[in-house]
Amino acid sequence: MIRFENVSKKYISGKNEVVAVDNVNLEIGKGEIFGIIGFSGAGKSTLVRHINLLEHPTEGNIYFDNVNLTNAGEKELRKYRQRIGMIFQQFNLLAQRNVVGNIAYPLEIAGIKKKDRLKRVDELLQLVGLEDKKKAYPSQLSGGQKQRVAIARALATNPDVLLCDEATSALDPITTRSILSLLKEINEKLGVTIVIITHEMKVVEQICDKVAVMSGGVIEETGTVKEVFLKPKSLTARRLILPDDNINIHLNENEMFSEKGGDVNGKGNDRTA
Amino acid sequence: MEKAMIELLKNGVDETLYMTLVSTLIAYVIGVPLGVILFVTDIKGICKNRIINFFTGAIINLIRSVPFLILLVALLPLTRIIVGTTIGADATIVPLVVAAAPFVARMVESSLKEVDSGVIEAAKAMGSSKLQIITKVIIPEAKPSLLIGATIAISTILGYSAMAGFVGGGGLGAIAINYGYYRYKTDVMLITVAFLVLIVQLFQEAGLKFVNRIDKRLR
Ligand SMILES: Nc1ncnc2c1ncn2[C@@H]1O[C@H](COP(=O)(O)OP(=O)(O)OP(=O)(O)O)[C@@H](O)[C@H]1O
Ligand SMILES: [Mg+2]
Repeated sequence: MIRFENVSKKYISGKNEVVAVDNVNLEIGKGEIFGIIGFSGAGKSTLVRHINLLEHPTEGNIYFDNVNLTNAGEKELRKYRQRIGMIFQQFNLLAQRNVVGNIAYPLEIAGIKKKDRLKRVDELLQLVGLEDKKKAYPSQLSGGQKQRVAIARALATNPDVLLCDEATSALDPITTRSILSLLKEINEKLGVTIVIITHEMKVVEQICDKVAVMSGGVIEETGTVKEVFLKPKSLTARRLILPDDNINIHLNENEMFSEKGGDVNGKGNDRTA
Repeated sequence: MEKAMIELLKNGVDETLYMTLVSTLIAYVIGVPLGVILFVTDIKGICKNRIINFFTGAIINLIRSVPFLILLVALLPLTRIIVGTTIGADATIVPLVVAAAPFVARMVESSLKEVDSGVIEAAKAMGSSKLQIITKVIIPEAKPSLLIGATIAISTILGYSAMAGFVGGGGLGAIAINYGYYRYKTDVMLITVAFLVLIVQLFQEAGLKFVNRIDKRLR
């Protein structure tokens, strides 16, 4: 359904060139829940933003249902983006619109009549279990509720694909679990293909069918979750998945640094996650 | 005498309000599109355009760096062409608008910059056109900040309008100068200044109250 063919993305800032995505070939099948894991800065977000062409590749091609979208025009892209929902770590809801207004937004820009919009919003509210929060504003919702609104909004136009960039990283474990089971339900009930970026192995274990391991812009390995988790081949996968041996040494180092109040918290979290 | 004074002050308040509000309105009609242009053509904007951004910014900076009193005098010929006279409240509106529009443009730009870039990104990902992003996302999301900006703009324009009293402008500023400064009537000057302070205070308070009521982030 989604196919990357030799996709590279380079950013040039001054004299430095950053290769955020390095010659990636990837295929995501219809109806799959596809996980992308890797340490911070690996290029996961950049890669996923290529799927809805929020980023344009420096080299290579991106196919959606065998249509090459790399050089699609603005208008064509907008139509195409309505077939791909996206949710984010920070939810990105419209703060000045209430729940109904947020979920109706994609329908509004798709030119759907108000009456039909409201009907669709009701269906979506039921799907995500927020019927009683119709009139609430984002500032009045918990993180989990905000993400449910974001999911409803992303699904409003009946997309074929849902992209999730660290969608549960700002949530506690119990809320994470409930959001993940909602995603699973959406995948099973509606047949929506889901792409999940995460640094939490639990997320992958809980709902993904397949997983790609990324590091330095390169996809180091892909396979079913079982394959990769039981027999991780790449160093990155082993460091992400296996909690023992030499990895523990790094962990302890980081803990020591953390006590001194250094800036290693991020790193520490990545390793322990 | 007393009655005449009250009449005079009442007139002054009316004229000041008229000049300030009309100038603010026209300054916003010009300033909002300019502010939007500055914002969207920025390097990080949704319609990045270096040339337009540079020239719009340069013209705005140029006008803003001219002291208001100099602008007031320099614009006299233009005012005569547009209004037909250079004296009175109507004539003051021309330099007020010219001085305020670039200021408003910058205020609008900075309000729009406060909008979370993640929200703009989400709108893009949903397939919004650029115009939809501006009219349905950026401006509505910036509304509280835009309104706070407007109360600041009104106060500033009110101050400018008082200054215009020096060169034949109308309103409370003219009264303060004609009676207080030229004829040494300190009491009249103090009363007009008190009125100016009161008006600024009123706009500021009412503006902030209104913003607090409509801003959905504060609950
Ligand atoms: N717009 C940009 N300009 C320059 N460099 C960028 C840009 N976007 C991303 N990068 C660089 O590309 C690399 C990959 O970034 P990306 O955000 O894709 O990583 P990530 O795997 O999503 O990390 P995280 O887990 O922290 O979100 C980083 O080195 C980053 O600095
Ligand atoms: Mg990321």
